[in-house]
Amino acid sequence: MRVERDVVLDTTSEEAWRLLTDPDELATWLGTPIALDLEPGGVAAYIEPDGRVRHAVVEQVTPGERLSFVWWSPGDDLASRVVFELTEVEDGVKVAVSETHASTAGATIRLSAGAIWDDRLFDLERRCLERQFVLV
Amino acid sequence: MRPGPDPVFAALGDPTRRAVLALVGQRGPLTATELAERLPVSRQAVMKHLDLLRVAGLVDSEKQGRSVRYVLRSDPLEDAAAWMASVGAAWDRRLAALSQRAAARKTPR
Repeated sequence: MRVERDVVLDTTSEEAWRLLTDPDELATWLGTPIALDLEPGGVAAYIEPDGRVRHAVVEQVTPGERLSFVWWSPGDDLASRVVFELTEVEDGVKVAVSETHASTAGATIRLSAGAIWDDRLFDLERRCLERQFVLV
Repeated sequence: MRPGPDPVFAALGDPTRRAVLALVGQRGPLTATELAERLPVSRQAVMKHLDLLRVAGLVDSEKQGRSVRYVLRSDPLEDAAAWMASVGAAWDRRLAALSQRAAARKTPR
């Protein structure tokens, strides 16, 4: 089960990529990043405008073209895969996004994946908590 | 407790299962034999699909005499629709903000 949306930005693909990957830019439209390790297997987290924290594991990073990750909210059993694809069009850059539910994403998206992950996620959790503490 | 959208999406991922579900919804209650007569699959295959649909909470079985009849349950479908609606609305909101940001950053000529 999948949700698809797209938007055409009146900009270059270089700039569009920056809007999707730069922490300061992400904060203007997605949420405030707490961690952002933009490489396959890298972990990321951000605070949504409503204050909820969302975690992500980066899957694919092809600058200017494609970015995909799996994300979930802590305490939530359901993860989903998000794919951004950039295409140059006549009047700018088309940013297409799809979000696919875990059970149809064709991947194991559960997170009990060994000690390294536990460490990384623990670190992420800690940084989230610190960040929230600072905000209070 | 009602199953979450996860098994629902898995159950709906197969075209034969969707056909079984559609028939049960339109013509149910139906037995597995009646379903197999209307579909290009064996009764045994229909039984397997019904099992998965039942696990996902999409069909219920009712015993009537010696036969078991299947009926549609629409609650989980409504959950799935709710997932799609809320995820879609979230992306509409985010992409509108992204578009605004791109426009704001564009240097005036």
